[in-house]
Amino acid sequence: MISLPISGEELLLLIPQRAPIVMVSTLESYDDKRLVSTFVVCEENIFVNEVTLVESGLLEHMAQSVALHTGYSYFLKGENAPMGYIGSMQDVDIQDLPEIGETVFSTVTILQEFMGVTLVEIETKLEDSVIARARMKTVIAK
Amino acid sequence: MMDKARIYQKINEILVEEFEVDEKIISPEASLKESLDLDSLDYVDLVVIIESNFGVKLVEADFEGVVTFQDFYNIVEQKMTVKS
Repeated sequence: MISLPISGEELLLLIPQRAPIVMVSTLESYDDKRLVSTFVVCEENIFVNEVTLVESGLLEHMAQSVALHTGYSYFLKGENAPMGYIGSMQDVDIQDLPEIGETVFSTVTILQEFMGVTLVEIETKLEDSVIARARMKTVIAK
Repeated sequence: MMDKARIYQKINEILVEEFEVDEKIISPEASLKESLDLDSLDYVDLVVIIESNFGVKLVEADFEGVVTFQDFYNIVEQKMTVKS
């Protein structure tokens, strides 16, 4: 059993992504309807432009946080993390972008699961400020 | 508990708004899937809006016999009856 928080090599057991496109740093907390992840913006990250993480990088972090929820739920069942994809994004609202060295915290809330499609809401904070929100539909590849 | 006519009317209203369709295409005998152009991602929205508006949760099995709008009205109505 892995104890929370999870990071490093153990985290990679829970998501299908690999370097250089790993956009989550830790899994802080988990239950079947919610997850909190972090991401530390590093200078060498491919989504960094000058000193700032670009919007697509932040969205990728949000999507990988959802993948982390799925991956950890599979891990708890003794199964490998599945491949999945983003079906859609809606209500995307990005107010600010983190810079190199900063850590964002994302909360994934599972709103609905139906016919293999999961509707989630993701809220990302930098320190105490919400910098981004989005809804996504994710689908596990078969 | 709303009467049938009010339930059907409200379902139509929220479907028109959510799926941005003309109310004229909705009729009891018309195909729900084809009329609303539903894909697999849309069904989760359908479940969410029904739960938020009627307080009942649809599951996959509920859709097994649903072809027309009338089938769909019936499922929502049955769920509401069980709930009340």
